[in-house]
Amino acid sequence: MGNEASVAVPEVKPVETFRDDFTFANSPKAIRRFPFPFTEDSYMYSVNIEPHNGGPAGSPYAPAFDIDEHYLSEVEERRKVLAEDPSRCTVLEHMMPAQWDTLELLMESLSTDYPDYFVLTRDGDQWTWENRLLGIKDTFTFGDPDTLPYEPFEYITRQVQGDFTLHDQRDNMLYMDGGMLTCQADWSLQFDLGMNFYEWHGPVPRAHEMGVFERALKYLLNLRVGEPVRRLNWTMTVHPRMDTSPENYHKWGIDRATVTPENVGDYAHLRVELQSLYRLPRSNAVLFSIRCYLISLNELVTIPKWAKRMHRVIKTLPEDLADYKGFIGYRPMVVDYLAPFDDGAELTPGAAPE
Amino acid sequence: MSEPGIKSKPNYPGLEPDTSARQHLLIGEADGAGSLARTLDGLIGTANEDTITVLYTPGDGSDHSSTLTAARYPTPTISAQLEDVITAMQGVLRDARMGTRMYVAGSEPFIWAVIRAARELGMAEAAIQRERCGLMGRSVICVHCKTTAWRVSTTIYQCPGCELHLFVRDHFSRRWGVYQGVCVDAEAPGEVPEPEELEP
Ligand code: HEM
Repeated sequence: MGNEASVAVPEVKPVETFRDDFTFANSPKAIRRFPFPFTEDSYMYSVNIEPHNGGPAGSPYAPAFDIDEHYLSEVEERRKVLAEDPSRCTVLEHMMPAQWDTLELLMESLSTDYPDYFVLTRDGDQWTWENRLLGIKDTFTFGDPDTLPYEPFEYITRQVQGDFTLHDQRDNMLYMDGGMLTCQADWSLQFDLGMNFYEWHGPVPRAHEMGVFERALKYLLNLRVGEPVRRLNWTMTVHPRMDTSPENYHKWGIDRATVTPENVGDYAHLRVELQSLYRLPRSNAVLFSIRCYLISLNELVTIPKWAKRMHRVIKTLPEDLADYKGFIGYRPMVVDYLAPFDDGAELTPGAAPE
Repeated sequence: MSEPGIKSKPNYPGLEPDTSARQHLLIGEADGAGSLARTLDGLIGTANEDTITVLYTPGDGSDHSSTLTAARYPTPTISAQLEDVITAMQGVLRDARMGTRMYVAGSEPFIWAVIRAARELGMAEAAIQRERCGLMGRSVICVHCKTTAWRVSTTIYQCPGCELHLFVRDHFSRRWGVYQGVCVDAEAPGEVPEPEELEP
């Protein structure tokens, strides 16, 4: 868990949009703490899992679940997506204990990491949850879903940034048995529900043959309570669009055809997922948190080291990965845009800004 | 856009009489009759005849019920369509004993419709054998409007629900028993490639 002293207290911005007029932007502070994923000049899949036990002060790795300046915007975007398609939050019936586990973990973590914003008061099974950013104060009976306005998993994940999935563990396998998915990188919870770890990863190129999923699964099956792990995943998205769901692909896919050499710095965004995994204590389920960060190329190149590294990674990324990630069409424009920022100098190891 | 060897795509190992099972439920569609007959040949003699139930429908395919009405086999229940087979199966499974083995032979949409209904009654997928035969074509759900098309035989088809042209992925959901269809011309509206024959 993050410790209080090193967790940044975010200055939360008023609501910005992730659709239509796309008013989302990162402050200079948000740019500097962006979880840039590339530690080397090239990228390939690997079993990139490490303990999630804090990180540099102010970084998104410090708290258990990162709350940043986009909090209100992301909560509002989630509300919009759910209003159009309530099935984006679905949890299978047998996962009710895992729902309460999730609520407890999120409430405890948020109130520990951000005591000015979130307060949890417990009196036996009478819990009071105060979310000062949203003006919520609810008293409910832990374990009794009828005392909350939504089921416990939906109730709490509507108040947290990032997507979440819930996984039952049976017969040495993890199953996709629930989730809150409103800012996903092109996969469908409704379709993947009930799948096992190998099946839901089915469309990913190379990684099966490389043995990545076999080793990753083994690692996750042994995940222990109180010892969460994390990894980064990334792709590219046109516009700061959170909802790049397959459900709405017929609406946003066209964006990929609108990128030009003139607008690529503004349109093309690096999309990074800080994924963390928790073993839940009562249910023995696994909670998967997918916290999504977006940064435009224009914003990214304000950090010289990142501009150079990004140029090298995108230029050398194998075709099948660029195709799978959906930016093979406008990749040349990204490379051309970044090239002038790259003088070929050797870079310091690691992903830090300098 | 091909997805070679995708891990969610199911395979069909074929039917193998399991003489250790305590009850046998054989379910077939159209050309599946032949596979059921071969399975019965392996069971008869080792399994008690009242532990064997046979359900069959010609479905949308050709009628091979005469293969199963041969005197040496237990009398099959023959239905006109899938829905009736499922109703009959539910009756059998409701008072099935532990150690029931199911053998399903037919087209892919038929197999998964049966498996889905059986799972709802608590059958484990591991206890259900499957063999694909007969009519080709996939059940495909439109990821956009959620309409399922029953026998899609080409790589691209028009969704009967929302009328988008969809590309049929190899990504398969066992829970729903369907493949996924995704808008094929989202990035270039109107540019719909020529559909090709789908591989099974
Ligand atoms: C319970 C935990 C996890 C869940 C729920 C999950 C879920 C997913 C999903 C839904 C996809 C998209 C597949 C598609 O195209 O439809 C994906 C992609 C991927 N996953 Fe996982 N995953 C998990 C853990 C892991 C772990 C531990 C690894 C470690 C190596 C991993 C590696 C990958 C990779 C490499 C991709 C491809 C990403 C890309 O190139 O953009 N996943 N994952």
